[in-house]
Amino acid sequence: MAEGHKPTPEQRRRAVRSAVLLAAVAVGIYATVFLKFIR
Amino acid sequence: MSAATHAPESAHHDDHAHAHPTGLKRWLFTTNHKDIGTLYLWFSLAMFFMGGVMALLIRAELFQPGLQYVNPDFFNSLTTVHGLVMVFGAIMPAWVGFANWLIPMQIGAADMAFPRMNNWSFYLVVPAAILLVASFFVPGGAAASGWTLYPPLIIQQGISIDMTILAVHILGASSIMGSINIITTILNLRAPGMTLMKMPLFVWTWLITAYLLIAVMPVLAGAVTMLLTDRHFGTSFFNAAGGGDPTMFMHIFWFFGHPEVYIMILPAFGVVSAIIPAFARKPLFGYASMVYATASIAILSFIVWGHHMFTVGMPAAGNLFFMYATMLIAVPTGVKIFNWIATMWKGSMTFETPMLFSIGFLCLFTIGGFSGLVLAITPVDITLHNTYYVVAHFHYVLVSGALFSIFAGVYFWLPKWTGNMYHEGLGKLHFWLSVIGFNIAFFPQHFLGLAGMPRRIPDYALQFAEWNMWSSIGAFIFGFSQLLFLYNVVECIRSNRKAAGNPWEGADTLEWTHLPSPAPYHSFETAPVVK
Repeated sequence: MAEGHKPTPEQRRRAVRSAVLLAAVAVGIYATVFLKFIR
Repeated sequence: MSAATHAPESAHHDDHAHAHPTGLKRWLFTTNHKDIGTLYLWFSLAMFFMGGVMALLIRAELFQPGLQYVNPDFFNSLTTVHGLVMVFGAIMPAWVGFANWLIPMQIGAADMAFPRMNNWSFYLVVPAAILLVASFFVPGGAAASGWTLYPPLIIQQGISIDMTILAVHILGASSIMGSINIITTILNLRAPGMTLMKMPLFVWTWLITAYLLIAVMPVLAGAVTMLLTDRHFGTSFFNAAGGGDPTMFMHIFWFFGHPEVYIMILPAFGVVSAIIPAFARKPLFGYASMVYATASIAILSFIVWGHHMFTVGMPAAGNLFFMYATMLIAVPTGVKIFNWIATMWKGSMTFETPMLFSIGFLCLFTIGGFSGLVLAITPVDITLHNTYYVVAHFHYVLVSGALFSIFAGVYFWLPKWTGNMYHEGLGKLHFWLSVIGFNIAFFPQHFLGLAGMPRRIPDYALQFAEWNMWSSIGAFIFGFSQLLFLYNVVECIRSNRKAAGNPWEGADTLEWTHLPSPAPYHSFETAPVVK
């Protein structure tokens, strides 16, 4: 099968790093909203 | 805008002859961005018709005063689920469908950064939609609190609320996964030479939208998780009887809810910014200012949530802050409107269906923007709050804003997606019936709101009868004219009117300049180089 060009290993590494960071931000916001109101 | 150096890939490169999964397996397990984009678009179309049927039931009930067809509880469920389905099931998935189809092609990437996660994002949306719609059939009926899910009502209703809360959680997770995919793709997989300021504006608007989603979907998730614990685990976050604060839910909800409006409208700006230059045969006027205006709108969207709740009794300073901050959004929005008009100025314009819908967007969205400015004025809003004026306002923003630009985008990119041209005459008929039906449906609602008709009621006083009748007639014209759209899309897919690689004279982004129509299953064998 003719496939499109693949991302380079460096692109993959950077993509994974960005994704982990963004996921951490999302979880952090969720936790902050929740914890803010627990008295 | 990007100027590409490579010649278009030959149509012979189209790898339809090569093996790739077919049948049900292809659609279930696909990791191809085009397949997933197609799934999102069909899904959103199905949800659009589902939400549309609910809208027509609402308008049928409101055709004349008195109770005609539905009981008041069911009417409240209809308005609630119509809102949730249209926002989370129709508009947002449609934009994700566009993002999947277009972003990799427009930045010269082979696919999204995380294709498997892309598949999961889509297949999370389906059970969430089923939960929402199935909630009509459980004891007590579907959620009837309005799409805002305000407590205390939401804490008191039956199991349908739990289904709705679960659906919102799932949709939030799907949106966050999709956003992570989009951001990482745009930031890491651009073709050589495709700098950020050379990206098509659609890519820019989606990059900013994805950041908005990551910032606000967890806030909504946090709020509905607290609703769930209030309902079942004895907490009192929002339950006044236990010392909680229902108003706090409103603050948290609208901290999500206002950026959500821009999540639905920023990609529309991107689509219109692609179409108007193509049919005016001129480059987009003020590209950089469009990017900065989009970012400004996104940032401002975080500090205006209070304008949804002027009537809760905030301090005067708070009201003033939210009033002025809201008015400030008119500045970057005005920059955009000016730039689109300046793009058309002295252009060699033609008026094919995508351009008609874009101009329709421009005129009608501006009306929605102006009525938004009216509602931003605190004392005026206190009078108009919860009236049909608000309903008219947000339908001018979301129907003639988001939905019209979705239609514009579908007609514009159908040749690239299907390899065939749609029927231009039917497209134009769809446009004119939509514009006429839409305005008959929603313009009178301004008058109804100004006269004091409250929203979310199945019955009303006699003095509102005439404009309600017209509104219902318009809604039915608008609703049934969407069958033309469905027919046109299906007819386009099955037709033999082959589309050229670039059927639009003025379109200059990579998917038009580098790829044949239909776009091959795998877009680029080698990364294109952009000058």
